[in-house]
Amino acid sequence: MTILRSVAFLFCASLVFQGCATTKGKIYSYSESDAPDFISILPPENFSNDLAAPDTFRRVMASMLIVKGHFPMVSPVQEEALRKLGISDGGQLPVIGTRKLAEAMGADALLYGNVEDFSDINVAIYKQRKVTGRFQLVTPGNKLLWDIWGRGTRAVLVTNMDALAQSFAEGLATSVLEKMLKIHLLEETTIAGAQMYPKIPEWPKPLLKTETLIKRDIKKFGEKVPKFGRARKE
Amino acid sequence: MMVSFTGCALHQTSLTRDSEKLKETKRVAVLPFFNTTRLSAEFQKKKWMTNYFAWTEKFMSISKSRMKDRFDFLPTEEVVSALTELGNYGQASELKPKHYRTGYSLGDALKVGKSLCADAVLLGATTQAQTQSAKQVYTSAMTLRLVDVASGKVIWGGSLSGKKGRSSIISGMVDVMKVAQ
Repeated sequence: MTILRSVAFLFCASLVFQGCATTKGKIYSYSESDAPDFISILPPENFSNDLAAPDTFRRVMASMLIVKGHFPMVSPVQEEALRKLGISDGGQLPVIGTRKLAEAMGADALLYGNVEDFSDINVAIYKQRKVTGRFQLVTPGNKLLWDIWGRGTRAVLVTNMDALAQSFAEGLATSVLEKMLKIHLLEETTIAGAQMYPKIPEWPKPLLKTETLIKRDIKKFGEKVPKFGRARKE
Repeated sequence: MMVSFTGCALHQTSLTRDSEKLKETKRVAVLPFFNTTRLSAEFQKKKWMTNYFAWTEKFMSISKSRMKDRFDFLPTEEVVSALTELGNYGQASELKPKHYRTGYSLGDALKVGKSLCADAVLLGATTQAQTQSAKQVYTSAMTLRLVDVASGKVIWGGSLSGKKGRSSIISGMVDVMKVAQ
């Protein structure tokens, strides 16, 4: 049992370090004229099996943008505007040019994204909740301003064999309740959002500490702005 | 003109994009503020979770008293009624009073402003921390954009966020808007 506890400790410690990962993202370009008054948060492409994942990520990203002074546009009305363009899923977005999309959404910038992981594993002895997302802000002229990503993970290894059944039932009940309240994996998504948060420039002018990050990033990556998206056109 | 303060764990910004227009602006239609806290429920059409008016009502009550000499805010009922008539917003008949579904485009907001002969429309987006991780970053936040009805351009924008409750943030935001020039 002592060995098992030691393994559990090391396992949990590694998770803590995962949670403390440094800020993840790259700022390619920034000028005050780029500071968008309205940002449309487009539905992220969902690579997970959970249909609620894109909405949870959009909710967290919208909150993070508001805290930074931006105005996110995301609502069922924007969904309807996308449907009129033939888009019902984030994966279909590359077929529409960024300029046309920005015009249809009434926005000065577009936030594209991917949900790479959105999973909740509960196998009694081991419970793991993990989300991973990546978001990119693009101007109507298809200029990539920043690219940020984050991961939220929480895991538990049950060492007390007597508590296995209880732990399994608790994990199950938590998931069901969270899904009912539309907050499933919201905590983990917020952890991912908090990792991306420092790399979101404040509207309309970044704070000094963000400006330092911006200058450092632009010096490092500004010359190497990657082509954005899969054959996405202006 | 831009002002930004970060003292007392609050981050506040104010940017006037057109000071002449701001001086001329008197009649303002305040559209119901977006609330990200209810967004997932909104996308899934959960009617029982869709009270968006708490932030808007509080903002209206404070701003009507503190900014009565500066702006003439149109009654919320008239704004919502004009918005509902556009057909994109509300489904008010399906829902309980004050439980409207959110969502309008900038174009819809401008149409509402025109139909009510407003000089500008005020759009807002709000959020409150719901998880422990979020509470380490902020408690409440709101951001506003005052948009000229004739041109559709932003006249003024401002935001306030930090580890303060909803009332403090709204009250602070009204003060930020009041001194905008």
